[in-house]
Amino acid sequence: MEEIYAKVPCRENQLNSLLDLLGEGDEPLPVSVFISGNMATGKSLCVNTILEHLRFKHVNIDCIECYTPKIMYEAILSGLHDDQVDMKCDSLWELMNNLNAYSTQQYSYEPIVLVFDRAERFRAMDQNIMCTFIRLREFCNLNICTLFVTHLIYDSFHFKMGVREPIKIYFPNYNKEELFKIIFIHQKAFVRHLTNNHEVDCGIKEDLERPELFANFLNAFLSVFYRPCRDLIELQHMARVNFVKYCEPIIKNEIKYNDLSKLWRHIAPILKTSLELLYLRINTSKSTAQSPAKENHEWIEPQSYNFENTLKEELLSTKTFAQSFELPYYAKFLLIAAYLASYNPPKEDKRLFMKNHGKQRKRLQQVKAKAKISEKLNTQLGPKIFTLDRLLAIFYAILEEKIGLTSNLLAQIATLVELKLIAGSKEIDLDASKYKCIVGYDFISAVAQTVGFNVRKYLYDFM
Amino acid sequence: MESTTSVSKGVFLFPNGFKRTKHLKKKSKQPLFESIFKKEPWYMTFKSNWNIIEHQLKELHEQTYSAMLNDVVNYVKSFDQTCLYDSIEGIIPSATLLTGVNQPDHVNQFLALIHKIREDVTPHVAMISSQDAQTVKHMVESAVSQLIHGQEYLDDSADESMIEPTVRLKKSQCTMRSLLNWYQSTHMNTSPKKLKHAPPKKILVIIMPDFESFNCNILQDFVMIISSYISSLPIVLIFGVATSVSALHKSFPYHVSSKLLIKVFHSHPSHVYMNQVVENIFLTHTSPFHLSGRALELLTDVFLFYDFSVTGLVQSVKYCMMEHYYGDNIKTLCCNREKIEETVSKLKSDELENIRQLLSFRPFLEVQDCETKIGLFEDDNFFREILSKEMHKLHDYLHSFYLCVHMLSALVKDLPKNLLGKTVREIYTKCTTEHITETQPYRECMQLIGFQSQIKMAESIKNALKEVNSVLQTSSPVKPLRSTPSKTNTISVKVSNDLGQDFAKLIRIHLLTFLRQIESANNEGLILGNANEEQEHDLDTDVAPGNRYKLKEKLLKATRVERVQSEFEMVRSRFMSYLGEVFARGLQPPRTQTFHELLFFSDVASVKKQIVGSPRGALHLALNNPVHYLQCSCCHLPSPESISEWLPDVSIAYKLHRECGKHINLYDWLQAFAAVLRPDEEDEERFQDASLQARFTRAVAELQFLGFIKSSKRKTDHVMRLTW
Repeated sequence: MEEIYAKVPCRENQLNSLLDLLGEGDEPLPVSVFISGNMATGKSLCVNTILEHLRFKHVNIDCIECYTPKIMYEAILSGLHDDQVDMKCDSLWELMNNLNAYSTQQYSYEPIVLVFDRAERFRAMDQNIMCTFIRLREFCNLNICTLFVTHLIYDSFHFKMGVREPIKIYFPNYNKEELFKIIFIHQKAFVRHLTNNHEVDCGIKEDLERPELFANFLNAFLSVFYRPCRDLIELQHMARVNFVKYCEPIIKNEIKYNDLSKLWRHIAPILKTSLELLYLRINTSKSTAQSPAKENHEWIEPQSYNFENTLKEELLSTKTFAQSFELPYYAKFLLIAAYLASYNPPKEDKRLFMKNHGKQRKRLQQVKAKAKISEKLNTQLGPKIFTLDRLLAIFYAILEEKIGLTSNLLAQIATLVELKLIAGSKEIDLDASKYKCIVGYDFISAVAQTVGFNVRKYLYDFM
Repeated sequence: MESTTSVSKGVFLFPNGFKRTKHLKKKSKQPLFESIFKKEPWYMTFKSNWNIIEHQLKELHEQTYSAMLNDVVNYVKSFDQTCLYDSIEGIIPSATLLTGVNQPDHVNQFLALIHKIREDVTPHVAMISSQDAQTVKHMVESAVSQLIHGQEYLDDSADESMIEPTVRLKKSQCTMRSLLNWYQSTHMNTSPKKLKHAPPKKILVIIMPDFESFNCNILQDFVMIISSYISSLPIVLIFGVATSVSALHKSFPYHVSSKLLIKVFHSHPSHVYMNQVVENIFLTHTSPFHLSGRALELLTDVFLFYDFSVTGLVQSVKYCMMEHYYGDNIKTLCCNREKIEETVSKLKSDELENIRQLLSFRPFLEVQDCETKIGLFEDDNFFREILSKEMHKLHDYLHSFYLCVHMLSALVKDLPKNLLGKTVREIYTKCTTEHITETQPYRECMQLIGFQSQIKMAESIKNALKEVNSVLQTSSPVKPLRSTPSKTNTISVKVSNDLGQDFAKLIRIHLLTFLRQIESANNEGLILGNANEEQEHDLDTDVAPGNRYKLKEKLLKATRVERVQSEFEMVRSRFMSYLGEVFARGLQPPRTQTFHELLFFSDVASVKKQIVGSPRGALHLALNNPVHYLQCSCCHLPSPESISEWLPDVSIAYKLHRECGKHINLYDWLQAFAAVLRPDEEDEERFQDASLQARFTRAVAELQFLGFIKSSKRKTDHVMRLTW
C-alpha cells in the first residue's frame, strides 16, 4: 500500500476509493467506473498503478487511436488473448460473440478490466458503443469492468434515456503544495539532466545535489509560474529548462549555492522572459556542433545568427512576424486586397477605390452612423465574405501599374489559401468561389509597409 | 480537388499510384518524340547543353541545402543515440523546417532530405502529403505502410511507378498496432540473443512536407496517437512549414503541443537561392546559352512578383532554350568553345546563308574591304573560317564581359543609394541593354567609388579580385585553341582583340598591384619627388607593359605639380581611371558583337505568352478576334470592335454581351443577335426562324460554360454578367 502512495503522491483519496471499488481477488467488480479530471492530474497513473498492483488482467485502449471502432474491438480481443492471434472483429455483436467464447474457455471467475483512455472520443463515435461498454457486464458472462478515463465530466456525455450511470470519481487539480511535492520527487532527475549537459566540478556537484537548493529554486519558480499555469507536465518542462539557468552561476562559481537573495535576483528576470515562452515548446538550445558545410558558405552565417534572435520576437509580435514573411510582390497586394474586401462594406467600394466617385450627400442617418461605436467597426467585427470578382477588382484598383490577369496571378490566390492567409476554396471559379481574409490588422499593416502601401487610407472605418 | 489552380472547372488528373497503363504509354511515346528530333543537330546540342545546366543545378542545389540538411539529419541522429528524452513521457521529438512560401521547390528539398536521412540515419522514412491525409485513418495507414514497406515504396512513388511488392500488408491492416508488432519483430527479436552487438534501434521518421494544408484536427489526432506509442517506438516528426513557426502553434492546442519537442530549422529565403542559381549557372561565361537582359528581366520579374519559385524559373529558362534552338541548325553554334570548329565544318551552305542574313553580320561586313566581302559571300570555306574566328572572338568577349559584370557588382555592392542595383543580375540586365559606361548612374557610382576610404577601397578591390580569381579558376586549364595571332602586343588598334582569358589575367595583375599600393599607401601628403620615383619604379616592374599608363603617369605628374596630393589619393585616381578603361572595354553590350544572335536569346515577346500565361486574355482574344486563332479568310474584321455575320456564333454573342451592363435581357440579346445575322430581313421574319433561336441558345450556353454569364433568379429572362 505504502509503495502505491509513494508512487502516486497526493492522490490518497482517489486511490483509496478506486481500491475499494475494485476489491480484491475474485470479488465481483463494479460494472463501470467513470474517472474525470483535468489534464495532468494523475488519472491514468492512478489507474495503471492500481491495476498493476492488483495484478488484474487489463486492456488499455487509447480511444483517440480508434478512428474506426474495429480497431477498438480488435485491440480488446487481442489484449485478452495472451498469445498473439490476429482477430478479426468488425462489429459489436462479433465482439460479444468473441467475448462469450472467451468466457467459456475461462474456468475461474477472473477479474478483467478494460480501460478506455481519452473516453471523450466516444462522443464522436456511434452512440450505442459507449452505452454498450457501460453495461458490458450484462452482455457477457465475465467478471468484467470498464473504466472510462476522460477530462470531461459525465454530464457532457449526452446519452439517451435509460443509461445505467457509472460510478464516478473526480480528480481535482493539484494545488501549489502538491505540485511542489510532485516536482520535488524528481529532483534527482533534474540534477542528472543538469550534470549530464554541463561539465561540473566535484565540489560544486555536491552543492547542486543538495535538496535545499532545488527546493529554493522550486519555490521561486512556482511563485512565478503557478498563477498562469497549473499543468504539471508544462511546469515540469519549464522547471527543467529554468533550473539549468538557475544553476549556471553556481557552476561558474559566481554565486554561492546558499546565497539565496543573489540567486533570486539572478533568476527573476529569466523566469519572466521564459514565462512568455510558456506552452510554446520551442527548443532554444543552440545546435552544439555546427556542420562543416556551413563554413564554406559565409553568406549563411549572418542569417542563421539573425534567426536565433528573431525567432522569439516572431512568436511574440505580429509585426515582426509579418515582416519576416516573404511573399511575392503581387501576392502581398492580393493579400491586402483580400483584407480590404473583407473589412469594407461592398457598397463603399466605389467611394474608396474610384477616383471620380462623386460627392456623397450627407443624411442624418449617415452622420449618425459616422459616429462610430467601436463595437460596430468593421475591423472589430471580423472578416466578411467576398467573391473573387471583388478581390480582383480591388486588387487592380490598389495596384498602380497595369498588369494582365495571368494564370500565375490566379495561382497566387490558391497559394494564399493554402498558406491559410485567406480562407476559402482552393478552386478558382468565376461565379461560385467565396473567400475570407483571415489575418489581422497588425499583420496586414506590416505587410503593406513592406510594399509602401497605406492600408488605413482605404479602410472604411478610418475614413 | 486539392491543389489544382485553374480558372475553369475541369477534370484534373492526380497521379494516385494507378500508373501501369500510363507508364506503358510513356515508354512508347518517349522514343517517338525523340526519334523525330534525334537526328537533328540542333536537338543534340540542345540536349547536351541542357544536361550540362541540369547537372550544374543539381550540384548547386546540393550545396545550398547541404547545410540545413546536415543540421536536420544531425538533430534526428541525436535522438537515435539518446533514444528517449528522459523522465517526461510521451514527448515526440520533432523538427520544423521553415521552408519559405515557394511550394513547388519544396519537393526537391524534401526528396533530398529523405535521401540523406536514409543514407545516414535510418531506412524507415515516411512522407505524408496532405492529399494522403483526408482522415486520420488514411494518414495512419499511409504512414504505417510507408514505414513498414520502407524503401521500395517511397522510391516507387518518387519514380511514379508502382509495382506491387510481393509481401505486403493490406492498407486496412496498417494500424499503429501492426507497426508496433512489426517493429518489435524486426528490431527487438535479435537483440536479446546477442546483446553485445545488438542492432542499434532504428528510429522512424515521418515527414509532413506541407504542414499548412493539413487539416488541424487530423494532425492533432495523429500527434496524440504517436505520442501514446512513443515509449515503444522511437518516432521523429519533421514538419515542413511554409509560413512561420506560429502556424504550428495556431494549429496545435496546448495539450497537443505539449507532446512535441520542437526544434526550428530555417532554410534560405528563395530569392537568395534564385540569385545564386542565376549568378552561378546562367550568368557565367561557361554557360552555353545566354539570356539577353530583357529576357532575364522577364523571368526574374515573374519570380519576384508572382511565385517565388526557383523551379518555375529554371523551367522557363528551359523553355527559352527550346525556343532558341528549335528547328534552327545554325543554333548548333551555340555550344562549347571546343566544339566550334567541328560544328562550323558541319554546317551546310544554306545554313551558312542563314547566318549571313543575321543582322549583326552587317556592321562586320561594312568594315571589310571589297575582296573579303566577296569572299565572304562566295566562298563557303572562307566564310567558315571567318565564322569560327568570330565565334571565338565572341567567346572571348563573353568571358571578359561576365568578368567585368561580376567585378562591377563586387565594387558597387556596398555603395549607398543602389544606383546600379545590388545583385549581379540587375547589373547584368543594365549592361546588356545599353552602354553602361555612358549612363548617368554608372558615372555616379564611379564617383562614389572614388570617394571611398582607404580601407573600404582595399576591401572592395579584394572582393573584385575574388571574382576575377574564381573566373580564372573555372575556365578550362587547357588553353583554348586560338586562331587569332599572338597577344603580346596590347596596343593593337582593335580593342576587342585582346579580350578573353589574358584580359582577365591582366586585370588580376593590375588589381593586385593596386591593392598593394593602396594598402601600403600613406594617407598624408608626401614630398612629391620621393613618391613619384617609388611609384614609377612600381609601375615599371609590376604593371604589364602599356604605353597608356606611361602617358597617364605623365599626365598625373602634371597634375601633381599644382596640388599636394596624398599618396593614397594619387593611387586612387589612377585606379579609378584604370577601372574606367577596363569597364569601357569589357562592358560593351552584346548586341554590338558580331553574331551575338547565335548565343543570346532575346526573343522575349514570343516566350512571354507561354511563360506568363493569361487564360482570360487568350479567351478574350479568341472571342473578340477569331481570326487570330482560326487563320481563316472569312472572319476578317476591319477593326476588332466590329461585328460581322461571318463570325462564329459564340463570338457574336460575346461581342454583343460586352455592350451590356450587369444584367442582360435575353430577349434584347436575341434581337441583337438576329439583327447581326440577318441584317436585311424584317423583324417578324427573323423571329420565326427556329434555327436562329437554336443557334442563339447554344451560343449563350457556351458562354455560360466559359464562365462569362450566369443565370439569375432575381430577374426573369435575365442573365448576369460575371466579368467586368
